[in-house]
Amino acid sequence: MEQYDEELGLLNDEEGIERAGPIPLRPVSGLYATPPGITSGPHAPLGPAPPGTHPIRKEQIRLDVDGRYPQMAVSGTISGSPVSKIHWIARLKKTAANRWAGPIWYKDGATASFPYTTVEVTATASPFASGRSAKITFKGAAVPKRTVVYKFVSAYFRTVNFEFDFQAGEIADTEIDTCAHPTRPPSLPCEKLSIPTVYRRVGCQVTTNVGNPVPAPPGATWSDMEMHDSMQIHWSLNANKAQWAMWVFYASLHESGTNLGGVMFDDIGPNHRQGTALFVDSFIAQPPAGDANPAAWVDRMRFWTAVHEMGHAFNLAHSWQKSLGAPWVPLANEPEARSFMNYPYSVAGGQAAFFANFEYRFSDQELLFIRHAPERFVQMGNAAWFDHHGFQEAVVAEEPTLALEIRVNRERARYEFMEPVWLEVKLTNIGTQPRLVDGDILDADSLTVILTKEGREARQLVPFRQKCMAPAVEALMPGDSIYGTVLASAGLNGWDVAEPGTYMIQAAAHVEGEEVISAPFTLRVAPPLSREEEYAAGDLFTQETARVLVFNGTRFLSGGNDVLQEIVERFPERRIALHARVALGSPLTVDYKRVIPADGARGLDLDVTPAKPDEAAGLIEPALVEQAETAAESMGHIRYQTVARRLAERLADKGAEAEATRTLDAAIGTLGERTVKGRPIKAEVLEELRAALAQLGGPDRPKVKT
Amino acid sequence: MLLNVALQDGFDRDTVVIRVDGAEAYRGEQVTTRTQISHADDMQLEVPERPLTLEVEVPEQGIRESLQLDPRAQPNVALSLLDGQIVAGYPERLGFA
Repeated sequence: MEQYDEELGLLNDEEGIERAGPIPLRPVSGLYATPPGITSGPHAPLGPAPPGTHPIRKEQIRLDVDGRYPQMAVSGTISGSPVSKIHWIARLKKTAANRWAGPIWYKDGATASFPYTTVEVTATASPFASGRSAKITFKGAAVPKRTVVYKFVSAYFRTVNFEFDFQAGEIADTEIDTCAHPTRPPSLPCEKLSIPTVYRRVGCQVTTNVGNPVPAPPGATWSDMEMHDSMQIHWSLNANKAQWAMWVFYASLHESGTNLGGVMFDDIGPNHRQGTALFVDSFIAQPPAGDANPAAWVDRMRFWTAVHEMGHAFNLAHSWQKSLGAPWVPLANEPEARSFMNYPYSVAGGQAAFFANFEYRFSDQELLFIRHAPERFVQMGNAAWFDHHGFQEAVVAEEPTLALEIRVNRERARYEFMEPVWLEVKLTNIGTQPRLVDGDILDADSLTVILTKEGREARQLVPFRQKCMAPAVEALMPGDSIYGTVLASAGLNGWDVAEPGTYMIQAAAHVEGEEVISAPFTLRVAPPLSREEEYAAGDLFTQETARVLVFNGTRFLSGGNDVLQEIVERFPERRIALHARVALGSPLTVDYKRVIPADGARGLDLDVTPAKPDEAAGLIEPALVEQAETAAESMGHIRYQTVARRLAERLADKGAEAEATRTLDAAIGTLGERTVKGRPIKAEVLEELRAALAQLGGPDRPKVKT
Repeated sequence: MLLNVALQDGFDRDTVVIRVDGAEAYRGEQVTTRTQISHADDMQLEVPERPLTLEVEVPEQGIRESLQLDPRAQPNVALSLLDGQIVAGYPERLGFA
């Protein structure tokens, strides 16, 4: 239900208010979106979707052509999978009534998938929100045009929450009388202007929380760390995540003294720009000598300071430093701007000149930024895309009934250099009703896995294998879990968990249009023990060797096999050697088929290399039997028992029952005694291994999935 | 009298030296701007009540700038390091936010 809003001229449609004259049309500016899940009908996009964003989960635009401070722009975001997003901005000129057109001048994200260069916009205006829509036709050279109809969502471009807290004894005054001080523009409307209203005029739908006093002894001053601690204690929305919310603290003084009127202090920790403060007893409480209305001057400076610091939380720089650092687009400094982001006393003529034509607003390039820049640049607590907040755009259930966990089967998530990182993924039904899930939902190619090395940009794991499977739906009962295992070290994107350092890994499972996101998981990779290891890693960290490890061996990729053989010989005591032994031995456990070119009309022939079970066992047993404990920890329990069963099955098939028995005996004995963080192996796993052992050599022994 | 001097934008672990009429009045090590308040350091320098020469040097970058000012008319000096140069402003007052 829309509320009456003087700023935007909206009327409360549901109150049936009698009006004396014709119903005025509303501004068409605002947020529009495609209805979710629409693939056909009048609102379905016409023309191909940008490749790489299939399926499109969400598409929205921000039309900015009328209303307050229009920027004559339209911007849009197309969200595909959780890691595929395109953001674009176009400049607009009016071409006819309710029609605009212009070039797309900014693109961000998967831009290779967005070849359009111009847009044509047609807005359907209506007194009623349900009647408003915006149709955009995207055009580009040598590409089919694409037309999308967006439905009106809101007159606001962003939604944000402010919480104003205050040092005990101080007052969080968030409102002023704009005409209280005589130095002001002649045309400035006289009103009780609040901070939320300032930001509503920016285009933000603002909600506020009730302020609370923050205890402090009389005369207390504040350090940045103390304010950050207070934010974490007193802010009701405090969370280590990006969100459209900020904490504003009215304090007496900063420890540095009266020269500091306010500060966006939150450049601490992983989530910046969530907290700001103003110091009511600083220089902003010292009116110039002879001022016409000292009390009103102080009120205005405090008001200005609060809005200014909150602007920093939106990631706005000072007016005179726009070109410094790394602006989102090339920006011009605005040293004379009459903006909240300028210091009133730094312009020509000083604060009197500033306030003589200050209209309590931001500059156009600041409005453009807040309204249209990619969300991660503006949103409080956000960081570079996917850093710490990889899934903030995911469709997450408000009351989740599924939980996803990444874990490793070792006490501490520490890995040797060159040791492949196998992760266990666990999906649990934490609800009270059974949930239907695809049995393959935790396969590596079904998950979205994000890997971030500390200090680097996030990367997505792209598994080597992409399966096309009919869904194997099964019921996951309340309290039950299913498990999967993922090699995080390497994929089609390369070796992303390899170099020494700290990594953060996060995964998402996709269940019936909902994403189940794991908590971030941190692990460390140790440095090499020698220069020899460092040199060997250069050969190991290649696509070919990665494929050999992932696919459990090959008889074709001889280069990869040579590298693994050398690792077994030169670094026998290192964990990578265990994985190498399995990869080298596994192809020897079966009659290995290869399709080879043939002469004549057939073109192709089948070459079968007989299994070599003794040689295979010679490679495998030192890993899976003699170092079973280490292998179980390094591979993870799921992979270890899967590999042990599979290889034992094959060895037995080829007459090596003794070797097969030893392999399974070692697995049963090792896993039966292992605990990780006090957690024993599930009884069902051991039962399966015992059943496999019992059936070795029998005609009905179970086949292990290969 | 006191001259208010602020080191504002553009400093990044710099050594900054300020001289008044040739005499060193300030030396700062590891001077770094906190961009959200455009502040790296600030000081009050005891200066004569007459025109003077304020020299600002960033020795490790080979930057040196001389400013002629009268503290009676320009009691506040804001110095920034931009594009390899010292840029001076004379605001009505020094305050940071």
